[in-house]
Amino acid sequence: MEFSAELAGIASILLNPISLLWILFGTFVGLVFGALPGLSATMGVALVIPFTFTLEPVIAISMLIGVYIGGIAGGAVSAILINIPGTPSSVVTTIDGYPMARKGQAPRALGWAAFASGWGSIVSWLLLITIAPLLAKICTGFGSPEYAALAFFGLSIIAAVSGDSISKGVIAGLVGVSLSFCGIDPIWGNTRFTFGSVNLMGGISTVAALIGLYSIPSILSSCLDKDNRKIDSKDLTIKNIVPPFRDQWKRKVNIIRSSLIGTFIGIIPATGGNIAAFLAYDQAKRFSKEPETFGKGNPDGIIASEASNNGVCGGALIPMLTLGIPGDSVTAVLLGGLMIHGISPGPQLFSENPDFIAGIFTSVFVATIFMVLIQVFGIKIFTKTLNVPVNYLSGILVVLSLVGSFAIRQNFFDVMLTLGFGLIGFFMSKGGFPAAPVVLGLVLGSMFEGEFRRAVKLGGGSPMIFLQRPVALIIILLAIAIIISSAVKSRRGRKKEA
Amino acid sequence: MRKALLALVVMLLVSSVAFAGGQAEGAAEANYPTKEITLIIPWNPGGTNDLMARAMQPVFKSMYNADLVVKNVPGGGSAVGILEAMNSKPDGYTLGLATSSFLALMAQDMVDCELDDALNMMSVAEEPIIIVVKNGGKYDDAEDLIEAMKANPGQISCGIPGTNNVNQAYATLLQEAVGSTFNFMPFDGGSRVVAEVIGGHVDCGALKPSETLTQVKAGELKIVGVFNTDGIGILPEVPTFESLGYDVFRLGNIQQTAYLMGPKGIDPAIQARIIDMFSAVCSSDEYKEFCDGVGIQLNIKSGEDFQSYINEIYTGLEKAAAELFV
Amino acid sequence: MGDRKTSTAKWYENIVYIICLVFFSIELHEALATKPRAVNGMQSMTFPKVIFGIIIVMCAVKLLMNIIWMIRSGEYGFELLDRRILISLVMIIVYAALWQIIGFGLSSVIFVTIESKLLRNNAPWLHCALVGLGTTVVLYFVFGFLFNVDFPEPILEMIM
Repeated sequence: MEFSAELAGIASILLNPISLLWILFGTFVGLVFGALPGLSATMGVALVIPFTFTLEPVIAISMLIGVYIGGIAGGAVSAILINIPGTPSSVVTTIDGYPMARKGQAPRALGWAAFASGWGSIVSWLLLITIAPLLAKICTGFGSPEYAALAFFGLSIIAAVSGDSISKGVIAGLVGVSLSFCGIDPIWGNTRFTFGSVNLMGGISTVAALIGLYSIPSILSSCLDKDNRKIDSKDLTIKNIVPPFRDQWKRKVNIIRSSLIGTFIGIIPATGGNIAAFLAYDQAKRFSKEPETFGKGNPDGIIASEASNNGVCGGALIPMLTLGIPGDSVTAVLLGGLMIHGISPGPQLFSENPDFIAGIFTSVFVATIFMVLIQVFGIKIFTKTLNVPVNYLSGILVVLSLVGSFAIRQNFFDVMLTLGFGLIGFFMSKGGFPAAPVVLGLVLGSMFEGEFRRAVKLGGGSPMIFLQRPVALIIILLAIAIIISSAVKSRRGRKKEA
Repeated sequence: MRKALLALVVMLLVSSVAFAGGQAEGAAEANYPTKEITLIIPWNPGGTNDLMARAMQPVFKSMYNADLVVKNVPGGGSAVGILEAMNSKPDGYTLGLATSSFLALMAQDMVDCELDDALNMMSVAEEPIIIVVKNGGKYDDAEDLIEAMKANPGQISCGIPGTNNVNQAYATLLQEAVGSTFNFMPFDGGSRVVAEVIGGHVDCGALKPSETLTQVKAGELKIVGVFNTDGIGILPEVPTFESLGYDVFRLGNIQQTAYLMGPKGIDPAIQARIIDMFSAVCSSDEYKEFCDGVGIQLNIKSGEDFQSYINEIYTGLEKAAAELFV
Repeated sequence: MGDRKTSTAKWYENIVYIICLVFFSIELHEALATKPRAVNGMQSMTFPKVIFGIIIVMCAVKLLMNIIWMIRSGEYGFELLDRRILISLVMIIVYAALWQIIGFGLSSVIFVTIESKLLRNNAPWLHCALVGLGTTVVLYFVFGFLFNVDFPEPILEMIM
């Protein structure tokens, strides 16, 4: 009896051309939002919600899931082609994606990104449909001490994303951490370092900062380059775009590991694709046989980033559907969409509406397939942007970047912030400082500080609480091990040079 | 390539003509609204207030054939968005949906303005503050929790979303009435507090019904008491703290309200029209059904009623800022 | 050992260190000037003070090391940026400022046109102008029309 309800749910998506069309549309919209700097998947879902009012709930939510999956994957397009991450989750994709595109392998890089995103989404989907209730325990198992430990762990990988000079990477990371202090104190509620500006009360906008740090320096340093080698339509065959399946199989460990990291991070609320991508990238580099090629156009870097940030999608849906707690900022909006359609998530949704759940699960899979297909065919069009002569492209990108930072909340202050970061970012890139640690610090700095202080408060003012929490303790010890091993490696590397 | 450029030029011309046409109609009060109304939500998409506005959109469209555009301007605990609404052009086409959080910011002098600097028009909803605990956890009802608090002052942790807001004010008033203290744990956002309470990391949480209804229905959380006089409409079995014998209204009836505001100087006729329109939208069956489902309590007040209501909240929060938030 | 390219990079590094030193000294000053709260628990400024302190020390040490390197290698050379990059940098800032004065639409057309011409002198003016116009129209359509972004247009608003 119940089984047939699930089949009906699956059929309501798979055999209904209208719902398939809506998912296709949603995925397409998501990809556009993801690819344009300043427009995030979160905004995409929020803006699409009004269009779903007249639809059946299952179709409506399926379409929103399409926007979500497309939006996270789309960020890779601009990250690879023009070195401007379209969403915060694709910051890490620039590290290897842009160098690959500079080497003339843009179609292949985009192909890897599309397929890695697809695999990440599929792996997390498998976990979602099989052991979601079990995994939801991870979500509530995380308290402040565990969050603090996780943030510390995240900060410990600064070395891995620093490039050549670890000391410059550490300074860049600490600058990011310092900037994250700006805003309202997480515990006492007083304002700090806002210099009297209301616009800074909410802290420094990560998106404005990353547009400035990535786009302006990269535009200025490449604006006098020769035009890109023209990419001929003849070269854009499916064979040149889709990575051979033999190659994909060879990188299966990286794909699965990154997807799992993404799913895990997705389950934990208040974390998201960018943290997952940083962690997965670090692991990929650590386990790679050729870590020195990372940052110079190694497809494994793209795979780690994209598989993990799309793994977050399936992961974040787990606590949302089982507990009604959003796993990241996009699922928070998605949850709102569910509620507007009169559906309240939780265990009773699984038992009372198995057809709805089956429909949602099917749509995640369908949206993933659509996302990969649209990208594979879209790559032919995307890569044409590289054929635009550099002198025109530079001006267009400046306008696009500033528009992107303005669009976040339609505030001119964010544009000035982007310019400020652009200027500093320009000097930094000329001086050999990496940009990724600044973003990492900005995202994780406030998380670490807030959670650490909360944990101490929870422990009655004593940091001993970390010793009583086994999970937190293990994460901290792992982080310390990582710091020591990077220090040893860099010393060895220096000796070799000398 | 040439064709594409030509198409662009044509598009520009057409759009500029359409633009000019739109302006020619002017802003006659009688025709209001002649274009879309922008409602600024000072929070990220996905929160209760954002949902309230987005659920209004279809009702608005069907009743008045006008578009209500939701514009999220997050930052500074709602200060950035509300100040933007306050400083927008007073033509009635840019409004904001503020909450008691903004009143609390003003009361603490964290933003540089007064209650009268904005045109506060009407209240839309009121969300009572509740105390939730883990269902099947250490505490079964309010008495259990309060006993534990009396026995271990400063040991019982209470999660609040944000700091120095209505939630914290009531939780502080409760601990005062009991004669003991909580260990306050401020988190970013209600869903995080929910996760912490379910996970057993904090003992209780001071939240709103809309943030917890899903988990209460699923049997994960239990509401032990509510800080208002009338209880919760959709959950009548929840006792008020007043009925349990704790006086928590020392500073007046401070409620978590959501109210419609705009820049000063909107034409009175348009003001009246706005209030009429939003009142009708919010009292529609469609909207009511949505609010019941999500756990939002409607509270439509305008005119003198509303002014004295919001003044009571504001003065209450001013006293709270001076006495409680230290 | 020292060539002009390395010393130029070091000069840029030094600029970053000096900016950090100045900025974080101001922030540290503010952190030190803030009165602690009369409550138990970790103060608002404890963590920032530690981080600012570390940055200031690290930047000072690196700055000193760079100066020593320059004195030892005798290489102080600084390769000036291409004039066009400098002009672009200034133009980007002026362009953003113009948003608030002549509006987004007009300033974008002008900026893209001039920038395209500046970066490649042999590009015909007409092409540059068309690219400028096209970019602005497309962005207006995508962001303004589809996504409801209100771009600043002070002149249009004044006319209205």
